[in-house]
Amino acid sequence: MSQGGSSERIGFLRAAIARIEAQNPAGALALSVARGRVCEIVPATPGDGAAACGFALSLAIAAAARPGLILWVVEDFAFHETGAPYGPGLHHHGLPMERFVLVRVAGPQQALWALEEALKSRACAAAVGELRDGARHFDLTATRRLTLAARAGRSEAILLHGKPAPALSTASETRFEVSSLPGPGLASAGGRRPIPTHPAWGVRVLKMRAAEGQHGRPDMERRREMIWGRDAPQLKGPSGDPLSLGADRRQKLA
Amino acid sequence: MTRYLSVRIGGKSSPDAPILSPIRLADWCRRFTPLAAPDAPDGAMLDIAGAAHLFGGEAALAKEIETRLAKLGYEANAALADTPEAAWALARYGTARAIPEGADEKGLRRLLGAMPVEALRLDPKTAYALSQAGLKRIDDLILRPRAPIAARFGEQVHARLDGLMGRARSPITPRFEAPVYLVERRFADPISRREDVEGVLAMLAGDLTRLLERHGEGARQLEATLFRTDGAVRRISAASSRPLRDADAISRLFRERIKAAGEARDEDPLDSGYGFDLMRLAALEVETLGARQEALGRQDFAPLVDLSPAPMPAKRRAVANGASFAVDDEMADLIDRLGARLGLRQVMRLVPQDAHLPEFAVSAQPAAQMRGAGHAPWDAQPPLPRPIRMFERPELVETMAEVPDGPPLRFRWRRVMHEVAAIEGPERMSSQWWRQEAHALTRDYFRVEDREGRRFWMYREGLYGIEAPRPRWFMQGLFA
Repeated sequence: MSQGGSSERIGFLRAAIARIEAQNPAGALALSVARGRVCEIVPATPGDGAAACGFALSLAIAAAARPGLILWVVEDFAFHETGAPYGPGLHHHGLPMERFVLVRVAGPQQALWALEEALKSRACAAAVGELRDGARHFDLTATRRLTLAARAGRSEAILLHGKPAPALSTASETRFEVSSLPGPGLASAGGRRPIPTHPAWGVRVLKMRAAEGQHGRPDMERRREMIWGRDAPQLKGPSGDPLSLGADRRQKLA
Repeated sequence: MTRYLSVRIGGKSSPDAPILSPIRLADWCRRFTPLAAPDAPDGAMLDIAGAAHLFGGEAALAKEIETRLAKLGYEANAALADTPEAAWALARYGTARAIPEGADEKGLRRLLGAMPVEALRLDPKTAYALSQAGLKRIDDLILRPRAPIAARFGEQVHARLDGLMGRARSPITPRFEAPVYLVERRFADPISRREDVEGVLAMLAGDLTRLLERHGEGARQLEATLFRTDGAVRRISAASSRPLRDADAISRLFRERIKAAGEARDEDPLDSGYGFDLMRLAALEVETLGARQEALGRQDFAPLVDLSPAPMPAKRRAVANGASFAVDDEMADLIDRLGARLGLRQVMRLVPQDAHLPEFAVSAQPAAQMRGAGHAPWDAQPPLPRPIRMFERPELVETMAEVPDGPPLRFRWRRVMHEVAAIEGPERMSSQWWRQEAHALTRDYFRVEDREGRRFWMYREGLYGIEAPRPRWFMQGLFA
């Protein structure tokens, strides 16, 4: 068999797998957590910033399986406004802290520069950039540049929007809208209020370029529920067995 | 044999010339020798050992200094001697320009003996007292016994006299240490465009790299010095987190520094004015750096594609080592580059601290100053749930509870009401009582989840009724 024949076949299989995986957010995740891609995360409401940040963290941890730094670019203002990434919390979720670098920048221009520099350097497994006014500064040109940089350096870019951005036109491959979701609380004794446990999010795939032009487009409208277990820092998505969380789940656990 | 050259600015020949402070003069003089000290109030002292031949000998060097300063609009005279004291005296009170190297006592007396005692650089009171006593010239002092003079006018007189006559050695204090390695380029026509400057820096970086390579060392601290034609001197420093011997990386660091300067000042980042006629690149701090396969390290991440016809395991291993070097180098380079542009303190690594209070449990260290990646202490951290985001200052929260000392049922934070759906706590953190800090109340931390599923980290400050009559609540962090 010739070289070309087998690579063609592999390409066909990969496309088929992508088509199947694209049906659910977990598949979209598998596609987004790949080298040389740009992934955007938008909070659903202004109060969902922490949930979006947690989701970004989960992607960064997944990317940390590859060698390289995990770079997190934060604007100055975040330190008192939305809170800065907190080491023990990141460590608690399983981020390899010895490879974590926090970059504090004065504004969006510096943030974009630092991200581009980091992505194309090949030193990073993933670079997370959060901007308060992401809708304005992560524009088509900026994201296009970041995409090229991520491709050149074969690292992953995770762009975190600080506030909801309903209509966006960017060059990113995937975009997720994340909202907070009541987690599977543990009931406590004596009929008191339950104990919060694992983080849970409602995740909607808003955009997925990888699956475009193929038969199975992702279900863009439906919000999927996801739970992030503590012991295994990976997303347990609804692949095959959709996890249903929320109120009924809480009672079941109780 | 060390030789000293004293420069003295007598006045301004051009009214437009700015005032030249001794420090600026010393910086300007560093174009001739690295060891230049400001000499208040009107001059500079240069140690020109081993530097004069570069300018065609001592006389030519002194002449060049005088002409160059004259062109800038200053009346200056330069004088050379074996000791700083003699050079100083000669530049101010002498007729000759130089005392020949290794001149004997007789020769020195001939040149210096006729000078007034002020040439000893004594304080005005002592000099006046000496002249009142009839000791007006250096010769008068040399011929007299030491003890009576020391008793009457102090030790200072003979200390200076010994320096002047070359009987004692006194050092000068250069403004900057001589760099370990130094390369430079001089231009007949000054250059001013930023591209040109960066291009020259790249060339200098190449020169420096070769120099470092020959000695098996890498630079940790670098400094570029740009000498402007009108006498101003611009210094740009850059630091590296690893011993650096890569011309590209060095010139990239300086490009970022120049860009950062442009951002800060919002104008011509180099302030090149009439242009630079001398550029230098110096390695101020170096460390040993073994030889390595530079060519292979710069290649792609996937170097295991075997290009050789026969399998050569040893070579492949070498290539793989080169690649892992490359990853580490890329990391260090990235950190240096970000630090050069944004400021070293802005690029941080987080290090756990042995402290219970959450705001002190982690400290941010400049990443460029941390060597290696072995920070095991994180693994020893207790697996307690901690928020992923933390506010710099905890924010006040209004709470409503069933019982005064109970956990809240609902709370208002940033003008939004949250209904508590799930809660865990308290996790009690006592103040560090052994430190006796004021306002250090016990904190009870709660993990709170509201009806929308948002997760907060709040604490109550002070024990109810014991430490505080009505403890206040604070929001400190957010969970994923």
